[in-house]
Amino acid sequence: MISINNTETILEVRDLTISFNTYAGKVQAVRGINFNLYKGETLAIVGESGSGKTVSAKSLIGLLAPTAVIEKGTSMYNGTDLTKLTDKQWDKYRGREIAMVFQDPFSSLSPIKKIGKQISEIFTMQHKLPKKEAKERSLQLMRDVGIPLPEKRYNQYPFQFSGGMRQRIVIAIALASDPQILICDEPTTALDVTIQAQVLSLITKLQKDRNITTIFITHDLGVVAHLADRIAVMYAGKIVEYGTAEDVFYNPQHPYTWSLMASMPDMDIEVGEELSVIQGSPPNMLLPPDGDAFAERNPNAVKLDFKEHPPMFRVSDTHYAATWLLHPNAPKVARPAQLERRITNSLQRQGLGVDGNG
Amino acid sequence: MAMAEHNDIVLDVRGLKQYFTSGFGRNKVIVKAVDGIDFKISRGQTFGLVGESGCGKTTTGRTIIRLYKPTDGDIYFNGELISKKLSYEERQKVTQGIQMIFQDPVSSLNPRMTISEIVREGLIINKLVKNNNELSKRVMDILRIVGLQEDHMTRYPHEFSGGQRQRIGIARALISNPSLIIADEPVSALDVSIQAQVLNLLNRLKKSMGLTILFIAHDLSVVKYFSDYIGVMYYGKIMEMGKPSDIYENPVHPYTRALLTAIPIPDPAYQKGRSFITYDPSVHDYSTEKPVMHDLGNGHLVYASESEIAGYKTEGIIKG
Repeated sequence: MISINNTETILEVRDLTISFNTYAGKVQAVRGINFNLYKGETLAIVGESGSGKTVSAKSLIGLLAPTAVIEKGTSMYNGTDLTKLTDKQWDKYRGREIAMVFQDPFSSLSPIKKIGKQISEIFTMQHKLPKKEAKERSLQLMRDVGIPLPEKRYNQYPFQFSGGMRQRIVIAIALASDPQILICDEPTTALDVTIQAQVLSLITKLQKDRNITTIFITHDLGVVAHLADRIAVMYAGKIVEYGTAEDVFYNPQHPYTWSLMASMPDMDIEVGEELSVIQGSPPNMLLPPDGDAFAERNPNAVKLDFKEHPPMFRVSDTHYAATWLLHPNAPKVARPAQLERRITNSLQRQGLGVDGNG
Repeated sequence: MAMAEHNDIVLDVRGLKQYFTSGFGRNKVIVKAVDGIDFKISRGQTFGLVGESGCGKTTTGRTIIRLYKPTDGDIYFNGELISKKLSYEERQKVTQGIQMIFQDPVSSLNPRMTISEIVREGLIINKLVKNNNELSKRVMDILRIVGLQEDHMTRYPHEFSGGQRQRIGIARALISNPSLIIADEPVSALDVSIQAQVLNLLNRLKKSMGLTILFIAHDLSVVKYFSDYIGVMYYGKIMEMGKPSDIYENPVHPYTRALLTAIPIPDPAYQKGRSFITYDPSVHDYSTEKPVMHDLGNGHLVYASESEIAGYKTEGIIKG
């Protein structure tokens, strides 16, 4: 278990609000999110498709679509507000200070350039290194990310690489200019489980070796458990719960976190058992609801959920959740049985036993 | 849960081989996508076929439904040999009796047809209905069964979410009352919460309609929940076969064990301390001894040579 002693904040996002102008109206993709990123940690952003997690991340690297508008809010990185940068100013940050690994390794590499060229052009263009040195550095990088026979692979094209190998190349490119922050947007969703395991181990290892701060976006809670120090759960453009991995996995508070965790098939489930599902579908972000956006799909929603959005309630110093259930006057609602059983099993595996809500 | 009778076998695959060739002359390459696999599926049961991409699991499904001509081996469907050259009538019987649910709910539905047109096609082609009244009644019934509404009939695929589209795919497969459904990674393109909805639907249909399913997946966690019997495939061959309890609690073949450790468990304390096993096929020395399928009892089969079985026994991997 990694504990964060270092609480030096590297990135501070405050009230970030992003919307898209479409012919149907304004889609409110991100509706005021706040988080801090501490140096050296891995922050996982979890949520369904359409919850705004990718849009938030793309705003941090200046790759939002032209139709997107940052309505308000700031993201402070080393004293610079990233939301105010112009295209020209972005060149200093994008790829150099903040890099990104995309979801699909099949479309994020150029099919008509050799792999070696795609890595080494960062050294020749950004760092103005001579060709020979750029090649040396690229080969070393390929070795670091675990590409066998890098000298041979250097002169091959992306179609000659398997999905896992391509994703390693994409990671190598992202790491080429020693970024401070690495954003991984579902880097293993397109990969097989065994390859996924290898890529995840690689990311954890590189992160430790190079002391990179990582934002990891995914909808797979198993992957989150593997590498997250802290977790932010997003729903309908808002962060509904955040805390350390232990807080969120062993003591989740928001009904959406409950449903999300309960709906994931795991190895404890019995053959033929019904999986618990989240009824309904996410709200229309053209007209997001006034209250808690999850209320409509939440069987235990209280009246207030439909009227007013809950503030962030403090659970512990590291753990916050936006649900009226944490209000002192709220009725007590039990977590789904399946989730309760999983938490009990997890705690028993650690030899801790159950300690209720603490 | 009803245990199916073992004498009522819907699908019986024996020594199935499917090779693909590429190039000519000296450059000719033979890819052994499926290289001699045997399995049976009894009525009302689900057989889970698991493996990485490129292991031949999708090819197996496609060969069974006769999208390819098998290189070698026999496929028996309801007791009849279907891997030979088929007459038009025989072929129609096969295509009606075996239906497929595809992985990608976006590209497997024709964007220019309404839901009703997509779903009813199977009934019309197979001449299963007498008149239009019966036709629309059948379509409505099946849509209700998979959890869609009547007013969805006149809409087009783009108006639906991923989970709903997969329901349409299921309705289309079910409408001609097939004896066998081949589900090729039906949930891997969906979000976790939607995945659970579709899996629950398939499970409910399986119980209420007594469906026989060949469930193809790359994820062992989904298959456990769903299958009565599981086969683990690696490069064209089945490495291990057995009931879920055998595969998950007493895995024997090193590849099965590697696959199991690769599943991420949503439990940070456990997951972070875990080490992955990588499977290295060079641990097997098959130069002198040929590997065969060994029956460890109770239908638990493993692909290994005699000396390997002896080795697994001394290591305590095989119990008893």
